[in-house]
Parts: sequence; C-alpha cells; structure tokens
Amino acid sequence: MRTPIILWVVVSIALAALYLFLAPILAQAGAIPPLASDVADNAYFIMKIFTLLSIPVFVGVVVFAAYSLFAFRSRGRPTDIGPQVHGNAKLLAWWLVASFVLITVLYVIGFNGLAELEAAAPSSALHVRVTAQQWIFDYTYTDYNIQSSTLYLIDNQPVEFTVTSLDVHHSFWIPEMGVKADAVPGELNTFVATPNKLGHYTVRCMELCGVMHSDMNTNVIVLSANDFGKWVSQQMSARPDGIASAGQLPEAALLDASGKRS
Amino acid sequence: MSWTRKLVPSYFSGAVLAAIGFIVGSQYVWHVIGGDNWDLNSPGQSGNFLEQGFLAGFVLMTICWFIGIGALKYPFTWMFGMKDPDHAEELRLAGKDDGLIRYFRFTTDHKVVGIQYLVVTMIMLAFGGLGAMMIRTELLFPGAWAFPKETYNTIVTMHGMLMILTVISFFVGPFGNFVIPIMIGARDMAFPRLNAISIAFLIIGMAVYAFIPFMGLGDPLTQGAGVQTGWTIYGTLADQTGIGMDALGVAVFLAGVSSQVGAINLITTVITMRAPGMSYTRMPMTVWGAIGSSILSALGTASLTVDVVMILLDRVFRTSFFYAATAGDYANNGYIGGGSAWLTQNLFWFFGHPEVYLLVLPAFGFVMDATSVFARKPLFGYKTAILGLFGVVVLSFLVWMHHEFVSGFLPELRGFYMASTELISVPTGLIFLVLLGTMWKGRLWMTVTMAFCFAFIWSFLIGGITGVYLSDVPADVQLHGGMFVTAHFHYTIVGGSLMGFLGAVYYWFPKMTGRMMDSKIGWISFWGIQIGFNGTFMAMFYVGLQGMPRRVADYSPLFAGGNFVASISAFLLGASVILYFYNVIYSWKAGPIAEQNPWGAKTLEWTVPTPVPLENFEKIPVVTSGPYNYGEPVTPSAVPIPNVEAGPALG
Repeated sequence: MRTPIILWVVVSIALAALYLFLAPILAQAGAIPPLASDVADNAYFIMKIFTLLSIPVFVGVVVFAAYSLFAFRSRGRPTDIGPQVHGNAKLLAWWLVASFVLITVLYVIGFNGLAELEAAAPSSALHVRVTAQQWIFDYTYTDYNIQSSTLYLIDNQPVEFTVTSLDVHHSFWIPEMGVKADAVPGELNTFVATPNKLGHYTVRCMELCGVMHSDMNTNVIVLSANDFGKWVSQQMSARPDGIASAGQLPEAALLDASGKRS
Repeated sequence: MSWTRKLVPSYFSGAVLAAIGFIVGSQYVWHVIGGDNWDLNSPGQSGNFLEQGFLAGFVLMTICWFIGIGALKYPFTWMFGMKDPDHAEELRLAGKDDGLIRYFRFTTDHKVVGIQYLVVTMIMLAFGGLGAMMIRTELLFPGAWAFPKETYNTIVTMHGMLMILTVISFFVGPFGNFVIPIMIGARDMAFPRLNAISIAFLIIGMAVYAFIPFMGLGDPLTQGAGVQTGWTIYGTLADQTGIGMDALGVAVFLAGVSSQVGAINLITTVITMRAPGMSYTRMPMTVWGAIGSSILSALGTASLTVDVVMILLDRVFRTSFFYAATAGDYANNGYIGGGSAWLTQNLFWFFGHPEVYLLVLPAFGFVMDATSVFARKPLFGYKTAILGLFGVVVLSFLVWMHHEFVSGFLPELRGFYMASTELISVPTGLIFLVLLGTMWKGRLWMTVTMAFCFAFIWSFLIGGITGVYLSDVPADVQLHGGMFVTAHFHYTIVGGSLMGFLGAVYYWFPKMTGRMMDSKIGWISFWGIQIGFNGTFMAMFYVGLQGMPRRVADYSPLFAGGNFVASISAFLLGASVILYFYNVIYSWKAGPIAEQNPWGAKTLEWTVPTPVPLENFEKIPVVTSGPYNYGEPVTPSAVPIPNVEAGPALG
C-alpha cells in the first residue's frame, strides 16, 4: 500500500508542476486561442483549476491500476485464488467523502463562474443583433441602425449580442472571446462579453447547418472607442437616408419594437 | 425436409418479399397517386410525391419483411382461433436440428438470436468504422480535398447515427441474449418471439439505412444526396436536407423499436426467469449492467423515435413541429410555422443523454465481472457496484440540458443541470473504486480481455475527467460544439463501450462458438487499437482546445498538425480493428476447440456444455452462493457437467 501512495503523491506533484510550467508555453505556441475577453479569461481560468484538480484524481487511478498490474500479476493461468475480500466500509466512506468534497469544490467554482457569465449587461453596453442564415452572419448595431457583415467591437466596452437565425440552427462563436450562443430560428439568445484586446479575430459557426457550414466564418475587428466612432459615422453617412427604418432589418418580421417575439 | 420448407419462411424469402413490397409501395404512390408526372412546376404532380413514395415503400417493405420471415404467422393463427403450435412446431421454431439455416430465419432460441445479433452488430460496426476512416481521410489535410462537402456531411451523419445504433445493441444484443439467460439459470428469454422480432426489426432497419447514400442522387431539388444534418438530426435542418432523411428517419424508428422490444424482454426475463436461489444479490454484475441499460433503452429511446416521427411528419406531410417561422413563410415554403426549434433539441437530447449511459452501463457491468474473474477475487463491494450503476441510471435522466447550455433555452436552469451533471461523477467514481479494489492483491491473469479492462479504466477515466470540463457552464460555453467534445465522447463510447465489447467478444467467444480466439493476434490488435485510439483522440482534444468546430469538411491551416496526427492514428486504429475482426472470423472457422470453462469463472454460463444445448440446462440449477465466491470448491450448479464436445463449425 505504501509504494503506490508515495508514487501517487510524487507523480501528482511532478505532473502539476510540469503542467504549470508548460501551460503558458503551450498557450504561446497556439494550443489555445489568444484570449481577448473577460468571458474567455474566466473560462480558461476555470479550465486551469480543473486541470490541477483532476491531476491527483487521474494519477491516483492510473497509479493504483498500474501498480496492481505489475505487483499482482500472475504468470499464466492462476492456480490459487486471491484474498476473498468483499469490500471495505471504511474505505467506501472515505471515498464518498472525498467525492463529495471534490464535487463541492466544482460547484463553488462553477456557480461563481456562472454568476459572472450571467451578469446583466451594463447600460453602457453596445447592442449587436446577430442574425444567422445559411451561410452568413449579419450584424445589426441597434444603437446606430447600422448593418454590417464584419463584426466591429470596441475595446473594453461590454457588448450584448442578441442572436437569432432565419432558417436552421447555427451557433455563433468567437473562439478568442469565449462567446458562444446558438442561433435558433424564432428565438432570441443573448450573450454579454467585454472584449479586452485590440485585434482581428474570427467568428465560426459551431452547429452543422448544411453544405457550406465549414465556410461560415466572418471577421471580428476590435477597435478602440475612437476608431469605432469613426467607423460608425462613416457607415451612417454611406447610407442614403441616414436613418434605417426597422422594416429593412431582416429579423424585423420576427420581433416587435420591444425586442420580444411577435 | 425439402428445400422450400427450409427456405420459406427464412430471411431469404423475407428479403425477396421486402423488395417486392418496396417496389409496390413506392411505385403505387409515384405512378397511381402521383400520375407519373414529374413536372415539378405543376403542383400536385408526382414530383411532389417523391418523399411520400419512398415512405410508402419503406412501410410496405417492413410489413412484407415480417410476413416473409414468418413473424406474423403465430399472432394471426392465434387471432383467428386456430390450433396453437404443438411442441414439435415450437422446437422447429427454436431451430432444433436445423443446421445453419436456423441462423438465417426467425428463430426463437435465445442463443441463435445472440449469434445473429453478434454478426449483425459487427457488420454495422464495420460500416460505421468505414465512415470514420472516410471522415479522417477528408480531415487529413485542410481543404475539402477527398470528398465534396455535401458528401462529407452525409458521411458524418451516417457514421454518427450508425455507430450509435450499433453501440445501443452490440452488448445487450449478442451477450444480453446469448449469455444473460444462462447466467441467471433460465432456459430461454421470457418472450422468445419478441426476441426474434427485435433482431428482425434491426435487420430491416439497417436495410432501410442502406438506402441513405443513394437517395436523392442527381436530384436538383435537394442539396446533394444523403442526409447532411449530423447525427443530432435537428428538426430545422432535417426539414430541408436531402430525401435521405426519410430513410434515416424510418431506419432509426425501426432500430429504436428493436432496442425497446429487446430491453423490455431482457428486464422481464431477469425479473421472472431466475433460477431458484438466484436472488437479486447473486446476479453477476453483467446482468445488472444490462438491466440498467435496458431501463434507459426502454424509457429514453422512446424520445428519439418520437423525434424522428415528428421530423418525418414535418417533411412528408408538411406539419410544423419544429418549424418556427412567421405566417409569411407559408406562401413561400408551404410550411405553416408556429413550431419550436428548441423542441427538437430537447426531444433529441432527452434521448441523447441517457443514451450515452445506455451505451456504457453494460460495459461497466462486464468489466467488473471480468476483473473479478481474472483477479480470482470477489467484487470489492457488490452492493456498492449496484449503487454506482443505478445512481447513474437515475441521474442520467436529469442531465440532458447540459447539451443546451448555449441554446438560450431556460438559461436560469443551467445551474441545476451543471450540478446534476457533476453529481453523476459520484456513482461513476464508485465503479472505479470497485474495479481498483477488486484488482488489489488479486492473481491478475493478463488475458486479452483483462487488457481491454485496463484499457477501459484508462479511457473512461479520461472521458470522465474531460466530461467535468464540459459540465461546467463557463468552460462548456467555450468548448461546446467543438472537437474537444467529439474527443470526450469518443473516449467514453469507444474507450468505454467498445473496449468492453471487444473484451467481451474475446471472453465469451469460447462459449458462443466453441472455439478460442487467437491470443497472439488478439494482443497485436489490442496494442494497435490502444495506440491508434489514444493518438486519434488526444490529437482531437488538442485541436478542440485550439478552437476547431465539429463536423467541418474544411478547416483553417491552424489545425493542420493535430488533424494529421489524428488521421494517421485513426488509420492505425482502423487497421487494428480489421485485424481483430480477422481474428474473430479466423478463430470461428479454425480456432482451437475450447474447454467448457477456459477462464475458470464461477458464473452459470460456464457450467453448461459447449455447444450449449437447446434448453441450456438439463435440470434447472439451484444457486447456493454468489457469482464470485472463488473460495468455495464447487460451482453452484445441480447439474453434473458433461464432457466437452467439438464446437460447431459455423463458417
């Protein structure tokens, strides 16, 4: 019993140390997308904690199984029998206690993260209506009545996406920002995130939606507030009437003025 | 016995009649109702009856199949008050003294049905694996270089759905039918005819499934042939995809009925047919696993069959269960709208999540049994193991919404479903405790089966741990719908159910066929499978973390490295599985004759001679102890054990 326990502790610590050492290097090398929003930071922080928590669990099972494999192996067909033990109530009790402690830790992490994810959008948030259809995403800035096929966002300003679809299920995903919301026909799905890094990113469709599913990508550009203002005024002036009427928006058929489904 | 008496009724006459049924049904709708007018611009012409024709064809094909194999004979003679079949007729129906032909007809003997299931599910597994190889070929390099995108989508759909249907039946089908009645000391299943009809449902379902890639070839109205929905067949996309969807719907319905019928039969058998002394706490764990799986099958699969029926109604009869659109669409599409697109997700996943436990529970049961046999130790906590299995059964119905964390459906319930999903790791953890405790200080005999048990522990552990990431809402939002998820559930289904199945085939092969499988080829295929499997899906975890979506024919060069490794490993996996299959076929024909109890197990199936006689036991055994009491000298059986005879050469 002593050897596998020592092995368990030593290997767990070594693996955890190796993970902590390698994680930033691998992230640099492109193992995860470059993180660009508070939601993504949150998600990857949780994954990091989970990895650290799961190392002792994983190593424990593997070490004990592998130790049994080498220590208790019989050469060929066994001629005698093992000890006829039918269980161990004390070990079972400790195993259950350990399981529930681990689960409680998971709950604390999960519900904390969930509360952060579900925080309501502040009043300063930029509102973007995402309309998916085969095989494009279309973005409407309801604050300015602008439509665009490229998503422009503002650095360090919360944005509230309202996602819907005109035909089949799609899923709106920005890998770098951890933003994901299914585009469900006839329903509105909201997601709040705050981009925190300037740059060019990608939107990918995450739900199989037909022939061109794998090509359903669009660009995301995160601008400073200044540059975004310039882009907005440029778009407004490019439109002939200056103000878009609600009737021109493709999803207007679905939604009344309050944004509810009609 | 004359040839006609041998071949009619049989699966051959069934196939002939089914073909006639399909032709009559479809042609009737196309030519008589549709008027043979294919001008799609004139409403009401036969072009608009294309799908209705196929549907009528499939329905008539199924009915004719059952008539052709003689499955409807007894219900009808009974209904018309004719003479009940006498004992000789019942024996003939059970395949007594009938040679090989009994494997090709409606046969009530549970052992024949078990062999039929084994062959059918292994053929299904081979085709599903072929689909996997085609997927990995396409993903070998970026760019849709091997197949057109629509073909790729069809392959993805067919691989996914076929594998699910295979794994649903490949444990409780072959082993649930062949082994479990003997394990509990019964002479047959509780409902032998239902048993025979469940495999007949599966066979005709798979015959309909085979239509999918050919339906809609060259049809300008559909987006290419086949079904492009993925195995989730969300109603919105299923409404507009190619007419292969009609075949898929019918096939899934038939296979669903097959698994439900089989599940009810197995549950009834275990409740009512146990031998004297075989109390619930003396049943081998395989039986408990199969029972848990059957409960999930009976309750959960219903949701899938309802889902496909609604999809078919939406497509063929223009209802709108899943079509949520405004009234304006009626004019354009002929759909009324007013349905819910969330409904299709809920119906599917209410089946979909219990279903993954349905797949793995029999493997849990088997792996615990095998570990006990090969460690020569009783299970470390028999009741703990039952608690683990049934904890999973109960909780598995309370977690399905974790597939909809990002769908926008009732987001306020996400906390509950996160909690229930993470809770399921407690009963699963108990299974690991039992496995590790059973090995501890045992006399581990490393057979190929035991090696697959170790592989099960390794892969299901990884599958379980990555499942925790996906149960957590913030982490899942990022990983949902990506390759990480694909890798995770392959670790549970391939690493769990398939490893269990491959181990189980090797373990029960001597009892089922009378011959041993080759151990050397077994070991080579084992290592090939392990290296290939882990290489494929570890690489898939990596590209999933990088941000590659699922079910894409084409991907950014960013993911090229990981996908190349995954594909090469997948080819190794495929080759090793072929080697395993070769081992099965070769050993079935020419393997060494097996002893009666080659593994030294204590369960009842090893107390009967090989080949197992028609009614299994000369005298029903009286069970006096549990299945794992290696300390006790005599196997719990009242039957004197006859000598071993040569196995049947089935090949």
